[in-house]
Amino acid sequence: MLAFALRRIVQLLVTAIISSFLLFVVTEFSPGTVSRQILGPYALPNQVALLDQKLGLSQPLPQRYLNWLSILAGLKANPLGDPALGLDLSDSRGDRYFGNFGYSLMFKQPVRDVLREPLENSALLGAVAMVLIVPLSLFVGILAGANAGTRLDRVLSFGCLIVTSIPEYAAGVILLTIFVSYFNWLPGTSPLLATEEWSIASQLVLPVAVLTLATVGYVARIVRASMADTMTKPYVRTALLKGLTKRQIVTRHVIRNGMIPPMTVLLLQLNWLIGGVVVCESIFAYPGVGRLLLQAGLFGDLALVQTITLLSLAIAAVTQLLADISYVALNPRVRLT
Amino acid sequence: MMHVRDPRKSTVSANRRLWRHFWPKAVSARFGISLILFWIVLALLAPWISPYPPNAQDMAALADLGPSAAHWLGTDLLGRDILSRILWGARTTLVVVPVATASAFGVGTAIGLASGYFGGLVDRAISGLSDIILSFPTLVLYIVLIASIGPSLINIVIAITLASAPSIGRIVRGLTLELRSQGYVAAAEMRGESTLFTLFFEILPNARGPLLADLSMRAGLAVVTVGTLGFLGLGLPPPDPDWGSMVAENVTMIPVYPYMALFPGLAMCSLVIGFSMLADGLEEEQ
Amino acid sequence: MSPLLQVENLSLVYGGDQVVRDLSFTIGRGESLGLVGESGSGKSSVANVIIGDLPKIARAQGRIRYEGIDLLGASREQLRALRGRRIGFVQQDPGASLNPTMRIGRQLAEALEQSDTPVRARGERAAEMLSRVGFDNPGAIMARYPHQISGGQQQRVMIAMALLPRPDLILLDEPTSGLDVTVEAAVINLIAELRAQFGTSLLFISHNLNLVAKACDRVGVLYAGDLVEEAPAGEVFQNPLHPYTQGLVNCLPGQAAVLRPIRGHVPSPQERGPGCLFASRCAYHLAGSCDAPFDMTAPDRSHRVRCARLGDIPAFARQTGAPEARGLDTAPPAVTIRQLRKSYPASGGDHFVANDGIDLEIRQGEILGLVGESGSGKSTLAKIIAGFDVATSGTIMVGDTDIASLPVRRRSRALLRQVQMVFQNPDSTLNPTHTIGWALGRAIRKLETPGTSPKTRVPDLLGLVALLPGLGSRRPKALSGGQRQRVAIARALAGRPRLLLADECVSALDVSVQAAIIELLQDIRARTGTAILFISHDLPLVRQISDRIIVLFRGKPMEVGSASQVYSLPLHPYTEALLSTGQHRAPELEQLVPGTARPAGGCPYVQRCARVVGDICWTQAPAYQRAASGHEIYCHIPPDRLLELQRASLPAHG
Repeated sequence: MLAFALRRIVQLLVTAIISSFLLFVVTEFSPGTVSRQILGPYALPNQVALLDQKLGLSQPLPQRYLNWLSILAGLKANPLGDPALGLDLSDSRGDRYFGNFGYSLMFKQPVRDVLREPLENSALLGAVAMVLIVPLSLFVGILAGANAGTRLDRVLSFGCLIVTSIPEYAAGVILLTIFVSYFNWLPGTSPLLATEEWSIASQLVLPVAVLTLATVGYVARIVRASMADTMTKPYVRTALLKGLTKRQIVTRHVIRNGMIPPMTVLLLQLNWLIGGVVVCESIFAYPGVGRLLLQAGLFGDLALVQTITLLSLAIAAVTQLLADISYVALNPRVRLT
Repeated sequence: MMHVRDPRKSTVSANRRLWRHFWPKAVSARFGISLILFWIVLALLAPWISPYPPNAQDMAALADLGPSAAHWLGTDLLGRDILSRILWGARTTLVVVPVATASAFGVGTAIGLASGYFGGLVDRAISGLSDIILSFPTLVLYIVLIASIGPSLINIVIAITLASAPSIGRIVRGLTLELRSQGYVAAAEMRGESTLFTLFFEILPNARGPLLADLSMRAGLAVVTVGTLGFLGLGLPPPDPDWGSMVAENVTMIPVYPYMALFPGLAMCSLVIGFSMLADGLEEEQ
Repeated sequence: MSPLLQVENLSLVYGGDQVVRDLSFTIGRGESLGLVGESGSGKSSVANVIIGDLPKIARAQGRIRYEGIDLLGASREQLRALRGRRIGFVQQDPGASLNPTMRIGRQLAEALEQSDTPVRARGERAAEMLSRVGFDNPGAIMARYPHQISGGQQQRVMIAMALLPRPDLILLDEPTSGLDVTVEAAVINLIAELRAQFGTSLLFISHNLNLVAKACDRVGVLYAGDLVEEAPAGEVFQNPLHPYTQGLVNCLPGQAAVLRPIRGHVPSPQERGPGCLFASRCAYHLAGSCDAPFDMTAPDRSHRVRCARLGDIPAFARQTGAPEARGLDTAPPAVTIRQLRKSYPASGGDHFVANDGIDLEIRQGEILGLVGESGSGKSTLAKIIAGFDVATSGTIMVGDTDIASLPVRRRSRALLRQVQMVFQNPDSTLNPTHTIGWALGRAIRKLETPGTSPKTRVPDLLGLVALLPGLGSRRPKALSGGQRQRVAIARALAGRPRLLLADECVSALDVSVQAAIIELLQDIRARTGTAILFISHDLPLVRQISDRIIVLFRGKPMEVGSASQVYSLPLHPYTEALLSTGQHRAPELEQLVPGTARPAGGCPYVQRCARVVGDICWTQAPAYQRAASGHEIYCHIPPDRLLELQRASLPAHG
């Protein structure tokens, strides 16, 4: 098991390096260069070129990627932090440290400082949503799948299909209309600042609901399909022919086998959830990292975009690893060599 | 008793059989297709049936923005008729979505066929690259891409292609792997058919069923994507209406004027539901 | 005493389709009844209706009484109480019937859950039962997951599971399908033995008349949902009365000298009328008397038949003797294989040897039978000849060209024409999207001499395989399995090949259809002079069609000879075992675990050989010994000594 995990980790590292390079290529390819952004639209071309020179931006792409990696690893100082440039960018951690993601030009602060609070907020949102999504989708999926073909199954499946088809922002609009405009039970925005009228918890309800709705239907359908498929397996019939009750059959023979395929999907939903978080935070003005990514993208704040994307890649990689490991743990047929 | 069909009759019923071929059997698929056709018809007829030009501002309506006899679904803050904008917005969606889906499917099918049929190094290269692209959360990928290449119709198509071709490729690869072990593929190879012939005449037609279901689902996802990009401000530039940006423009008004964002949101939902139900029905027919 | 199970006038309808019609039989305590039928006979539905597990659309009428309980009227809870505890069930495909994520011990213990065995005693009882079904190490087996034991072992676990609660009746639904011949024989023996020990009643359902007759006291023959004949096991072969049963026996390789297929096809549920369902294929069919429903009649106490013309059916005359021999020793070789070797890299730097130094000639116009169990490398050989795989070393000469390492995609048109293949699975051999005419037309275009018009050649080809020309416009879905396989043969013949590879091309077909394809292949050989390499696991079947036979074991030919030599005078211990599977004992099962390493240097068969003479078998590879002209064996023991040994061991079995 350990060897298997190690091999997967090495694979992940390789993937991480390649994808971070691709990310670097795509983002650095963008028309508004860093120097142009710093100097503003009225700067002369030779001024831009001079700053490019100073920042090492005129070097070839692979070299720049290496520079970027070295800064990230704390081997090199970030040229933007050089006081001689007069950009007024400084980092309380010093200019060389591991995990130096550079400066956000939008906030004129080190990326790490910009990210800290939004990250916590988004993690809270994602965690609460995940806590709801997993049991809910498992419950609905197993219930529908174990009763495949019955009316209960059809109702649940259809419900899931409809819920899956509603885009997050549309779900947000519908929920806002109902709970804010019509009933006035909940706040319309969630800035996570407690007011007299709305507690922090009440501000979380709608964002979490939107995220949950967007994901539960999809996951439940996958669980259902796998369960329904498992129900038709000969070994389930063996259990029936032994005289076991339906409950015994489902809990002992169906759930474990039926959970093997959706396990991967379930964990990979985190990936999907990250996308949902961006939309969700935008709807509710939630001060999270998703909204920050969007702002940074629109502003052209490269360091911030790169960092957030890298983070999401890292989350994706870790969940992938967890999915693989849980797949192996659930399935004795996978031999580990 | 064997039932033998008279060959002369077959031409007479050819039209009906063609119809039956394309008209799905599952109820959900029929409902889905009807919803999609409904929007296609509305989009095509928009220039004639929409009560106002999409960007025309009706200053008289500003006094009362809500739904009225003059504006069935009300107007937005600028006095633009919501119904007209939804109808015109359908045009945007129904142009971008087919183009993007077709492009994603073309690329995905090509790489999937190649990877499944040839295996080996080709497969490993394609699968490796696909895995990397798939490890990006989709929406993050869109933001990064659109932010760097800028929002435009063609760029949205490129972004959707790049983001969904790998997963279409995976499906096609799986189907190809399964189908290439069939006797008829071996027979084609034994009579010296070219690779392209084998791929397109022996393998692909038999993957049609699952692929059609997936195509429908992808189209639904593309509707969501186009809407979401519009909503996030990464879609087509204003003022031309698209459903996502209509929601975005009016989302802050929901506590007061919910319909401004609600109606385009519902329009979007109904179209996506149409595609999902079609996909569900097609899958059921397998 | 009333019988244990009594089925009376049972009818089963799926939707609008009649699946079983007016079926009556009884099984007494300790008795065993076999139900035989081809696909579509409704035999599995009978087992399912008894255990109360039918699809939702099924409607059953009639009466099924089990120890006085009406099973058709029983509540779900009543049925559940009977399952396992009173009525055991062994399904086909043991590999899929065991939960892959649960240890075997736990699955066995579960079978005792409904009984009054205390929880602690369950493991012990399970272990005891495992040793009764022939496991030496029950504890180790119980700790394993199903994928960690072989198919034969899995089926023995399933049998143990069914026996554990000591039910009075066990239903066996094709319990040996998917198992190798030798394993199958061992499982059948085990079932017979256990029945004697426990006195359990059996209902044995199978498509294989030979097996059923071996395992049961009485045999019922089902045809299209009708029980057409019921008789003591011996009678079915000696004195079958119903025309269908007679036809069936004549289709069995090893029973009749020349296979005589039954013409026509089993009527689909939509085609079934009120009268005799076999009428459309029956030589004694008489309009009027055969077209009305007819009850079973009993010519004697133990024999029942459903035939309106029973008095007019002549007594069964079996064609005895050997199939006509055809010596082709002098014909020039169509394909010559020399020192062919194929190995695959296996885990741990090892190599799995699929073909090991095969020397072989396929002569022009001969049918060469290649026999071996799964994993013997017979399909690998076919794949290499066909070009779907390449040899590691050695040569395969077709004319002047060596095709051993020439993949199919690099073969010239002329080469492709010479070697064609018929594939195993009739369901996937034809592309469902294209018509039969399209498939044949393509083959003609690519393989026939340029300029041949498909318009005339397609009907030609269809005629060659005895199909009507009108079939050209159909798609494969509208064809039966046998018809599809005929089309596949026609397609392979389009370029008039020198060699036709037939890899298990009839194994998925019902016996009556199988016999017809065998007949067709012989006919084609006679008419076109194509050599055929006929590959199968079924030795009697191969004997039926082949001029010469090669017996393959772990990639090495064990015995080569003319069909009559190998079949009537099997010398090699492996061939002997294959042919005498009736007397074969179970211990070999333990060694059938897939992937067991073969001994380095020694004889590949040594681990399972009953006639090992000493260390030499383990350490030294034998040389081929000539027993007679054209008859060779791969063994250390001289042929005459082997004959003596065989004679000596015969009386021991009584």
